[in-house]
Amino acid sequence: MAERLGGGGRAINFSWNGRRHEGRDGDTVASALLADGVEVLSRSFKYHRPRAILCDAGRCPNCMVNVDGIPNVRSCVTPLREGMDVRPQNAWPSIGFDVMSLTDRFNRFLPVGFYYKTFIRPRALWPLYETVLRRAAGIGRIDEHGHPELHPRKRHMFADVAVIGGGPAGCLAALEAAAAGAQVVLIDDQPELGGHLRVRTSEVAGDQRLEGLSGREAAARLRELVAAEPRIEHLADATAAGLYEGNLIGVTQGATFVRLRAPQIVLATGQAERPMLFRDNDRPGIMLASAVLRLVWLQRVRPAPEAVVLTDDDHGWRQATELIAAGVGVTALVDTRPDAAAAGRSVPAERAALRAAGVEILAGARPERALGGRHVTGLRIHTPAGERDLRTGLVALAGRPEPVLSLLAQEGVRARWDDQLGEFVPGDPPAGITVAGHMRGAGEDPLVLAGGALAGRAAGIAARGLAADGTADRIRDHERRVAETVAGRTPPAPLPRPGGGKQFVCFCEDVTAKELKQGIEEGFDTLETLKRYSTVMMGPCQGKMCHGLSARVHAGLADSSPAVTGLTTARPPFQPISIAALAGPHLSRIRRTAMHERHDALGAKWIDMGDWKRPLHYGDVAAEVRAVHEAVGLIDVSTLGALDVSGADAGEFLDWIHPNRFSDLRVGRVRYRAMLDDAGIVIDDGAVARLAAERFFVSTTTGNLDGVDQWLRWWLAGSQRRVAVTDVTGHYAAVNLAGPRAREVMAKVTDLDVSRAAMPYLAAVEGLVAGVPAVILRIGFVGELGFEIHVPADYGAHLWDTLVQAGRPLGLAPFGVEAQRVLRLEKQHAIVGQDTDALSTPLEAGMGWVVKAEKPDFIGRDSSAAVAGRGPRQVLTGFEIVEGGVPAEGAAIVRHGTAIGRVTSSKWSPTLNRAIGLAWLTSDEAVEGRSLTIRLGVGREGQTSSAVVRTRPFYDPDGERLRS
Amino acid sequence: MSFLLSCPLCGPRDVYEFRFGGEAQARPTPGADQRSWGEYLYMRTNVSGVERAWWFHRAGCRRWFQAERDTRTNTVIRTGWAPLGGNLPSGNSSGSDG
Amino acid sequence: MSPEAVTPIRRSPLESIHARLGARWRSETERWPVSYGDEEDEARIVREGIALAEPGPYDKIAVRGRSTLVDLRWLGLAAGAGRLEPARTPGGINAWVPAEDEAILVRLAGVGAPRGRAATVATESLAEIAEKLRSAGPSVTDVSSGYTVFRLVGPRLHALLQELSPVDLSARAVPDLGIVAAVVVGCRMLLARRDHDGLPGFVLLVVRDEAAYVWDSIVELGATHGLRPVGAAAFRSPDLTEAHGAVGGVR
Repeated sequence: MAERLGGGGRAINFSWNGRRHEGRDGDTVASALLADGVEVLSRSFKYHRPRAILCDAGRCPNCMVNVDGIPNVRSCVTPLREGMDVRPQNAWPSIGFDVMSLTDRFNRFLPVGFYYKTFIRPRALWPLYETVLRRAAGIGRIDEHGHPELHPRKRHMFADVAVIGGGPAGCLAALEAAAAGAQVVLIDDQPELGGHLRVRTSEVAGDQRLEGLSGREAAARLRELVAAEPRIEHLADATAAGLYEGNLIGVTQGATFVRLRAPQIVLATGQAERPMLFRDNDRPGIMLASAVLRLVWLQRVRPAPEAVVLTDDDHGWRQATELIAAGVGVTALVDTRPDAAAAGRSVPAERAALRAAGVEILAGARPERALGGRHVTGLRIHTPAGERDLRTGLVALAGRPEPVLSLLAQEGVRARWDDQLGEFVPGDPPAGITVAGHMRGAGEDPLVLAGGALAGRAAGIAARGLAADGTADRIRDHERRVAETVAGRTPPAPLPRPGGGKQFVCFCEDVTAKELKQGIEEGFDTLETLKRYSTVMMGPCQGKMCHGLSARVHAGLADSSPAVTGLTTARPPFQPISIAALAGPHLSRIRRTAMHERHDALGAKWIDMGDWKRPLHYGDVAAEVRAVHEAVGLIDVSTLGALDVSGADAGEFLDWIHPNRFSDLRVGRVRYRAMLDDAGIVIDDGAVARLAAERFFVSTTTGNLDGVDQWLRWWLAGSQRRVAVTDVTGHYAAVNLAGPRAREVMAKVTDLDVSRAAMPYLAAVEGLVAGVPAVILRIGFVGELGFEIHVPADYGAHLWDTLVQAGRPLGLAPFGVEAQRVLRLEKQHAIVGQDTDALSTPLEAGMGWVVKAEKPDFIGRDSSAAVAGRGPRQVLTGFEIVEGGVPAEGAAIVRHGTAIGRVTSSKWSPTLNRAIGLAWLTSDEAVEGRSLTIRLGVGREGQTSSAVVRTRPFYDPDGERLRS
Repeated sequence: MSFLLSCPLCGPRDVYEFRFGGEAQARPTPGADQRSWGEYLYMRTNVSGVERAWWFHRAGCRRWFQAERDTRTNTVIRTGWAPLGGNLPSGNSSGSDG
Repeated sequence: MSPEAVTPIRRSPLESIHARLGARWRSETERWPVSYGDEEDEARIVREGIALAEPGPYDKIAVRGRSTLVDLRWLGLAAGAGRLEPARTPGGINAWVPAEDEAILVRLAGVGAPRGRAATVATESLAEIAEKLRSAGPSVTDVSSGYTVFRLVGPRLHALLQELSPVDLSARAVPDLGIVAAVVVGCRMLLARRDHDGLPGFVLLVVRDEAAYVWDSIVELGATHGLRPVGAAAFRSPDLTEAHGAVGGVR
């Protein structure tokens, strides 16, 4: 019955349901299937009823198919491509015969909200219910292999004026705004501009640029004008999915997600025809009149040679005329309204032409049901003269269109019921947003076009901050004319109370008018609760097809007015967005040290520490630990944070932010630092070296640099202190050379005197190392003689190479983070953030010595005094395992069934040949030699180890090797 | 939440470029008791109306500034370098020891 | 004990990336390859697509203090805040002044210096400038290795920038020589507009440890916009220091 119009066009091969089909260039997937005789495109959600094209505009769920593994693709707006593999969804074993359509037969057992009333007993069957329902629920299937070829992109755009909607009002708004000098972005979800004019032949009026042109000609003219205007950027096939605070618009355009900011937005999203209520109104072959026109004009496919037009408004008479002009014969026009003359309405202008074309006009006729099973074969109507069956293979629904209000509703602007118009119209938009065109509700050409142009001009002027030029007055006149037109309209008759049978209100969730009635009778009598109970408007279309209809039906059933019941809220997205598009391109920041390639060449096993890549080890952790203790090891510590703190008040500032003193640190010395917050909690540690009277080099932990930098900047904001803080983390590459033979290696790479006398523990020296300027700090974290060497990062690899070459004959081995962790644990060095948490004070964490209580005020002073006053409640202390496995970090330490502590770090030490760790223990338990029971933790439930408290470092407890 | 916040140096930017630094409030004097510190650190006025708060331009110039914002509508009334409108509200001065 | 006889050379974090792309350098101390193999093609990319380059190496010093802009004006190095003051002569000093109290002075390293000489913290003139500034008040810190300099030029640059950064970097928002602190491919950096021969262009100061990631990300996202790395010869100057003029080395 469907037929292609006109010849030519490149053939496109694709497959449907495993069989080969052929389409034509310019087809959508749906139009190609229609032209090739495919009657059923999908099965509905609950009743698995056969469905086919309804809206042809991507607004309803009927045409959703699976394309190349991607589910829920709206085939009516998806261009056909060579080789597409298109498959039906939600049907088993086949789209033609779907077993689940039995639910349609037995629907009386599936009343509204049936899942609240059934599948409850017996409880033993819940797992079965779950499996069955899970399979039955949903529509599409996700391809678990994913689609990496989709390449999502994200784009950030800025404009003076954003216009949403590429119909006549939107295009004119964009042109006028651009003429006022504004940069405009015009967003249209169609491949070409023109909106509904593209499928209209009647003449356009209201703007001199388009005077006398037919709809289609006017659309082409608008396209020319927009293309010629350099200040307009046109986004085609782009859906404005969300309107957010601050005039931010989220737009989806293929695999690209656009964030667009514009101080002025013009909404011109137009209007849409809606379905009408009668039994079996969802049969394939029943589609919106606009869908038929789109198929004919845009895809050149005629669904059927003849149609019956159903309407409740003058709009239907215009559509009937358009159908005839498009080559679709209209056998009958069914208007539910009583005859115009009899009702005192003006007769539609199209009557004479329609009569002349042989159209049977049936006024005051109510559609009762659609005839036919898999496809419509006719429409049964009730006329004043009695019941009649109209034979037809195509029913065109041309009910009064409704403004598309979802985007405005996202801004929190509730729609307003206009009794005069009998429809929901936009509420007052907030500042910065204007509504124009058919979306306003009072839709006649001159008003629509003029309104669009005025809105654009006003937006352009406002965005550019230009002086008023009389536009405001013209807008006031325009508003007056709109109000007059509205007042002159005859309000439509309210919807009749729906009868029985399946009259679908919501096509997505298969909710019928009867189910809404049941819901109200069960007590869910507000639209909000009825929506949630019946799931109407909660499907993929999110109310686009059924929102207004639901509100009217509900108002009728609840004996109320839509003005009272209102509309429910709308939330983004307007059309579904894939998570991949929202995420955008996978960009995950990676930071690498200057020696990165050296580690790679050594076969490092990498770990991520925040954004940094660090070598965990180079293959043998025990060997690395041994090398540090017996010869010399080399570790890349470039990731440590480094801040240059300089200025006349630098010393005093460091005294303020630390619990200990730095103003008395001599030039050429380094001192340990721990930093507290106002609550007296340890938030960072590291070292401070004084390189000159007014210049300090401050190192922080790797992960805390950003936080410390923010903290310091806050204290300096608005302050009169003469201090400058410069982040030099990136500028320096750093290594730690540690082990008894470290001094020998140093002697080979520098002319500086590295003897114990000249460079003792805690010295800080600047000079040339490996021929490059360096800062050398005699500090250590791993408990052996150590030199921490900082050089400009561009020389980092060179320094590494020089040290490795000098150290090789002495047994130098690179070591990684894992060995470092073992070594520091042997010394019981705490790591802030690992062994401390948001409740750890220095006194309790074994750093009590860092708090110089006698200092005049410093950050954390009062809180530290309070803690010192009450005494530590728990302390951080070491333990070694006597018997049993190595506990996990976080493992609980128990006595008599109650927790007395928790493990923070735990490692096997090859040096000591036993497992060691650090743990928090209640103060009374942290006694040297005390025995402990540790629960091993996750995966080893029920197992414990026995351990002993060790309050002094396991290795070199007096620190002689460190200070050598 | 996607309103624009005007950094005094960089101009209007998406609010997510910034880190909210808390209400501007007076810092307890040295020697204050733990209750006062507790209220300063953990209690908020949480005004329904115009709030003056600290903001940090994390994704830009990394400076701290203050903003007055109507928390009911997220309308930013003004932004500026601390102190916005008078004294520095915290103990953030040249140090109470100097 | 004397140090081993090595000649320290400043290495770019992207050296192996350039090498993999087929870079040809004129000398070992120069960071910007002459080309990656096809000079004609690279010149075409500058005119028709988007050129990406890592010129350098540059010495840099960070200046901090309330009187920074005042002192830089007095030295004739800067005119106003929020802008890049380009050098007046080849190999001169570019002053990045994002605010009145903050600046980064950038100078091409070792211009005319013999190969392989170990540099001091900054070249002579930057060191002198640093001393003058310190005596006037501000703090001055060497950050020569802290930033890597990237150059982007080409007619299709604005469309790509919309995908690289959430900040408005259009010509309307950022005038020529204007400085912006913004996030690009997820990394915070300073950018300055530096149009070249009527083509839109930017110079980026990228944190060194993020440089490889930023380069890879820009190359990946720029592929569909016609972006390719280009060598100095693509800017059609016989003298490489002239080419650096395209980077903001010369006014």
